Amino acid sequence: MDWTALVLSLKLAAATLVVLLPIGLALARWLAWGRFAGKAWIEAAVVLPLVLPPTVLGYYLLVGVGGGSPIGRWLHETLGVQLTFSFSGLLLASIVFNLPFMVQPVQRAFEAIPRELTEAAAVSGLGFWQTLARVELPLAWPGILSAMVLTFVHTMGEFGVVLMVGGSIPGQTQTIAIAIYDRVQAFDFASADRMALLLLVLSLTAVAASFLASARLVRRR
Amino acid sequence: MKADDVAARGAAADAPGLQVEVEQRLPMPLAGGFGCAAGELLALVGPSGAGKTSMMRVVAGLTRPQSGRVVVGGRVWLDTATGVCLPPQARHVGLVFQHYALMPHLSALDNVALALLELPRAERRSRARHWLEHVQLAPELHARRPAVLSGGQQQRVAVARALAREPALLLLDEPFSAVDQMSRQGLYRLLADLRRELAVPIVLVTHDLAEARLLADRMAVIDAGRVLQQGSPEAIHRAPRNARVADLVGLQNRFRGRWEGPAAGAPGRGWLRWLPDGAAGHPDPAAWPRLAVLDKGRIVPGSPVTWVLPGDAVRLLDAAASASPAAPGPGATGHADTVRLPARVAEARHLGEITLATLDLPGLPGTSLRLTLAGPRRRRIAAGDRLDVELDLDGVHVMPAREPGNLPPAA
Amino acid sequence: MIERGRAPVASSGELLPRSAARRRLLRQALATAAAVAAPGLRAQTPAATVAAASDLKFALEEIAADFERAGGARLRLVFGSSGNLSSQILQGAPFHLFLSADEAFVFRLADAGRTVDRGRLYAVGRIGLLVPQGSPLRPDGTLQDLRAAIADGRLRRFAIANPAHAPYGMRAREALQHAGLWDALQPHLVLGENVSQAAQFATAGAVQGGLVAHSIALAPAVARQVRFDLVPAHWHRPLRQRMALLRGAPAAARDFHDHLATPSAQAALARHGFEIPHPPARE
Repeated sequence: MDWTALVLSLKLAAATLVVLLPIGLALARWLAWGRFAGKAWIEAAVVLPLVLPPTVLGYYLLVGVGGGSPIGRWLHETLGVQLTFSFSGLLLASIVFNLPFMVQPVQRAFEAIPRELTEAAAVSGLGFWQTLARVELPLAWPGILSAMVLTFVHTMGEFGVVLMVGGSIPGQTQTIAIAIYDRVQAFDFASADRMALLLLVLSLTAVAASFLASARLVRRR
Repeated sequence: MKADDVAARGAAADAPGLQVEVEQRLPMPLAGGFGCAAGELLALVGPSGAGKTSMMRVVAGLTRPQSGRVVVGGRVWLDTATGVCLPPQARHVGLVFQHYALMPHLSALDNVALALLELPRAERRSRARHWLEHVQLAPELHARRPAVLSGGQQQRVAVARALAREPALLLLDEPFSAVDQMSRQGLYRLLADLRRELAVPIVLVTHDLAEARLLADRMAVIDAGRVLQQGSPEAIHRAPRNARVADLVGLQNRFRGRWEGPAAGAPGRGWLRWLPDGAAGHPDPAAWPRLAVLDKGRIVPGSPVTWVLPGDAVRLLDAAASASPAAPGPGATGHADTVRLPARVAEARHLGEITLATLDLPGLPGTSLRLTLAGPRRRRIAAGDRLDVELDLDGVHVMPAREPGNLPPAA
Repeated sequence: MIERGRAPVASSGELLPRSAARRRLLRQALATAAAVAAPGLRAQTPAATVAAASDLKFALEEIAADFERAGGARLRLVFGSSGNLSSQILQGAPFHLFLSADEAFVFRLADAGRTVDRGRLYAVGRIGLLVPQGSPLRPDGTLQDLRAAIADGRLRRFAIANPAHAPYGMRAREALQHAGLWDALQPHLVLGENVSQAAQFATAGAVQGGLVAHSIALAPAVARQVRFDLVPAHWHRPLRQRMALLRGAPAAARDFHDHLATPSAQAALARHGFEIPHPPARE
């Protein structure tokens, strides 16, 4: 059982969630209620990571922000930041890769809110933030919750992108999914067994809990 | 702009009420305006898609027209000429949506409290309770969510929420369309009470003419985004501005005619020659009856006109035993206030408590009267019956035929 | 405030007793998890990162443990195919010491200016035929049985490391070409990303055997379930395994680099099936 790898995965999943939640919420709301030219393109771009092979994403990240690229060099010289083979690189890859998981359910949830309700809120004197907090978010909450769980679980299981962009550096970029891969190569099946089972139970529990919560929320309505 | 409209709006303009002017082409054509004094109830009437809801949304601030002006209680809510456009939050308008728009995740009490966010929490809840009691929602229902309330109860909550803001204007969008008859009566009473208590203009959007006539002090008829006529329901019914308005307010009997000019010897009256519709019938106008009707002094003698007769200006009588002295013919009508003509029932459809009848006038080929008979005026008539009809000439309203909207009556 | 006759449905912002208990439980669980994980987090961060060819997996772990016990720094070990690792180094991977299974990769890095010097030859590797228990193949290093097995259909799948970037894979191909079996074996090949994965494939069950590193076959975890026979060394180019310090390497990496030249480290390497160049040549 590689605790370092587990903790690293949890850190990555949590960090991804923290960064992606506000971005995802804002983007989802904008897409749900905005009417503007080019909206279809933006929606396609959001969905792209879902259909793109992880290796394609990994490749473009390596080439685009890796040590050999202009952006990568600039980042390294000015900010001392390296995006490949580092946790920050994983975080960046994870954020891009999880975008559809965060945005899509939330967008659907916002779209399902009848316009009349926000209009009623406006007419009742609620400003933008008040309407968001008291009307939109409570109604979109099941969608937001399931988006958060999906993102978390998906990040825990990320493999291809992480391997390409991060390598398999224990303690830094060797997430639990990669650790399983590594343990198998090292003929350490006992370890691989335990970690795989842990991931399975974790994912299953998280998803089941989110469904239960959603169902309960819908019933309460 | 017609003189009576200006006068109608002017009357409202003196009181601290509502004045609306809107003009736009896109995304939906809207034109015209209406007004309503404080404490008055104005019904915005028109068929589906006429633009009533769009007008209402402009007043509430939910949409911004290309050009327009909305003044309520002396405060300018919208004036595109000077660039003033208050958001809905700043307008203090009470809006009751057609489908109530209650927040499904909040109790009735919390829904009303939503309009009271400026107040501290405790006070918010007690004020909300007060308003719910005011609309007579039982206390045990206050904590319920909208999903477990009936339609009528939900509507009361929506009204309470609208009132909680102590609005300067109350707007109700088709409030009775989804409500059953029992609840409807209760809501009529509620509305009557509100009119009495609130010193604000109330605007009711509806496609139900009967309700408008029942509840409203004033009416504005809208069609295809254009305000066609404003005034009291009786005034519009009695004197529709043109054929379209006549259709919209449910006047079924519309005929063609020619205005022959003032009647000598009968001050205040003029001769209206009743002409057949279409090519069928006597080409000779002299063979058709002349009616001495009220002369409002607006029509040029000799011009073609359209005229209407409201249903309550028609009386059904048993057929006279002998040939009627009011048989059609030149000058047969004389100077009496009524004219009596023989008629034959072409069809009579009985529907519950009303009868829809079409009566042909044998002396006037191709012309028929359509009547909706209810209550005391109802008779047991059947197709083929011969009757007399007595027309009250004071009910005849004549409109110039060249007015836009004077289309030939539908077959 | 509870009102008389109020339905037992919570309005927004108020908690049911059940949810409150659940939240407390969740908070406790998270605190426990954090406490458990904390030791792992608070552990001493490694002082240097060593990237090594995967045939060194078992040997290097032993040597690094000895190094640490003897007072040396804690090291982070990363294994992979030499080609992959050198590619990552070119991309900026934060490695400090590189132990390649093929000196060509070290020279390439040296030419690109990534290394301190042109490195040191630390071992010579060997490949051999690995046959798992129950396989119809015989552990015959001259590959005669393999030839027969291809002909009579006993062989379905055969594992080697990927010749595109793994030195052991390249040598396996050379040996097979020498034996005239390369073309015949093509449809049966399973390529491992590195020689370690190739060995894992070879023991996975659906594969009847493979050409893998001697050092891996000797590892206890592997040895107990396989039989192994070396392939003649002259059938392929020698596996001259070279290591080099990378630019910017910390002192700990330098220490380990030097430690690998000590007799004890050399003995460990020998135990794991490597041949030690005498004396450690510097070219």
